[in-house]
Amino acid sequence: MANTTEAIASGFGGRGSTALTVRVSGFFRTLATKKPIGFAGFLFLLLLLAVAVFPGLFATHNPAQVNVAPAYQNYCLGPKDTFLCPTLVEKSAITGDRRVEGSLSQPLGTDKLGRDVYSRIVYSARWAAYIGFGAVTISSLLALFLGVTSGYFGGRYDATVQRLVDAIMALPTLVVLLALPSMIGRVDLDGPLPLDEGSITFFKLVLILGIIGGAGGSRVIRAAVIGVRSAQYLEAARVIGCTDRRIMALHVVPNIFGPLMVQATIGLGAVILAESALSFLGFGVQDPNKPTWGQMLNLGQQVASVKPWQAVWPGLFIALAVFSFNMLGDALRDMLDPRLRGARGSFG
Amino acid sequence: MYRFVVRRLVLAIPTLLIVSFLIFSMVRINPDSIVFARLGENYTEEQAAAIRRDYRLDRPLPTEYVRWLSQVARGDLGESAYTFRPVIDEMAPKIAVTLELALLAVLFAVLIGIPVGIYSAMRQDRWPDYILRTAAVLGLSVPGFYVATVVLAVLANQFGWIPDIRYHSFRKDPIGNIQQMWLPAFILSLATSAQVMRYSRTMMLDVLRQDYIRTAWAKGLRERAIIFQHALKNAMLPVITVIGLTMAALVGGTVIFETLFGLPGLGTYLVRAVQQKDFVVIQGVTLFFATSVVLINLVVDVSYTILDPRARS
Repeated sequence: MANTTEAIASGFGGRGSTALTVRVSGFFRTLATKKPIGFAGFLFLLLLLAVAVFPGLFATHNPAQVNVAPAYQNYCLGPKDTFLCPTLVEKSAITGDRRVEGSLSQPLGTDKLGRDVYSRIVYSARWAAYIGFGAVTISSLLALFLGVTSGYFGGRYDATVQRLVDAIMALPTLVVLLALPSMIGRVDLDGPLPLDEGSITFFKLVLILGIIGGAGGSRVIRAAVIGVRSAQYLEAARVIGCTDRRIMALHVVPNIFGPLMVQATIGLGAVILAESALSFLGFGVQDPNKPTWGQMLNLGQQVASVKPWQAVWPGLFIALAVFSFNMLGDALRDMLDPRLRGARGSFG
Repeated sequence: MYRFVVRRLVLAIPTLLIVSFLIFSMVRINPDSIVFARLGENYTEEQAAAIRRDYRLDRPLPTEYVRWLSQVARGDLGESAYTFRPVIDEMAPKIAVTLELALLAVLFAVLIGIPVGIYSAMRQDRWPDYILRTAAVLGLSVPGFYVATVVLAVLANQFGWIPDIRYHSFRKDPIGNIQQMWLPAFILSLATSAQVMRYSRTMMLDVLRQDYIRTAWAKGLRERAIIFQHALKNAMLPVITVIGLTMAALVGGTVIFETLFGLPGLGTYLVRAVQQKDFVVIQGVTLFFATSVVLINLVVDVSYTILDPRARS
């Protein structure tokens, strides 16, 4: 008896999971062959996750290791005065010591405190992933809730929610990011100065970005829900007496999964970009042990006229991340939205 | 059409009210933060009470909001805590700078985005189209402040050029003003250009598939005549709606570019206010930005309805 049950269970489970495996692997095969750039974006996403989880495996130096020697004179090896001269020997005016910047062991050079740029870029991936996935999780859940209820119920509830969404969308993200964290600053007399830069935490940024993103995303979800609202299968579900909650959860949500995934993927890049812009202005998280690409770009920008590579590399990773997620989002849109299937080429 | 315009105008009112309420309550999420910002760490309870009285933090939020709103409606945004001057007077000359930067950026976006989008649509799914579309996604992905940093580094390194830290007002020195403004506006416009390009390409393709275009081909018209005389008008009208959609991002962009290029606009004013925790100024500038975004979207929607007979139904 037990054996039979087990056999049945494994039989069902086996069949179900095989079908799912086939579907998933088929999906990735299509992605890889039809949308190579989108697939590359997906690989970059995996790489970002791997680096974020195991930064120690990728970094060559301690990212927080400061190495400053006093009164160094800068001059370039090789062709002088060339843009992006990556090797720079710093020679102490006092002791005559030489410190080579941009050696084989530190291919991307060091920043003004002598910290390894490459290792800091690696450790920054952790915060990019934290902000990206954190904010996108919040914004997707919010967009799903607002969009589905708004689109499904319509009427006065919809009108009210949409005005609120309008209002949040009218607030420029960067302006809110600049203004809000200092307002919700911790008031703690024993701790560091109240309202100092330490009051801007990654968690607050994730929360603010998630809410702003969720409001905007709910528009797309709502439109998709309105698109399926009058479908016959929803009417059938209603006729057999399904509750609204059941219809929304079991019949509406699975049908708008595509737009939700596209939103989330593109949102990932947008959120990383927003944090970078804030840090670039010098208003991001100030903890030197929690580097972000935007923060590095800000430091690099201050010395960009003498050591341009300090700004070039971190910025390149911001651009690469946003580009990858945009391309992956575009590819997903083409594949998951049946109306667009086959309508666009492999580069779109 | 009038019904739509009236409806659209009426809908903007609750949005503006909600925006202003969000901004007003944002400053008052933690009333103690204003006390701290004014007094620092060491203060007596009397001083704190005086600050709360001055900023009316001890009064209930809803009545204060109505009071503040009626002041704003009369053009009173309060006083800066540092200069003790009315915020509206301090903002006035800075609005012109930010407005010029944003308008120039929109101009660049239209001048670049629309022709490139049309060309890309004419060569659909051939190499020029692939290259231009990939370039557009790059334009959307590469942050403008990164491009600006690299461009400024190259200019400083190779040509010894740095941005002028003095501001030339357009009225006194129009040539100096344009020389100063075109570069930040151009880099700021890249993301918007990419968006305009993608949208005008899609719109153009949509129109090119229609029957009257096939008729025009069948009549033996030249491609140039079909594109410019038949397709263009119908394809380009919806493109103006994109400009409304990108406005919020553009406003955020002006903050960064004013700071990078040292332009005395609302963005640098806001950044300074955030550094000084000058809450009245933060509130005023944020309200101005958000209201502009709502109003520009309103103008775009209404003018689109008036210009395009298809949108009137």
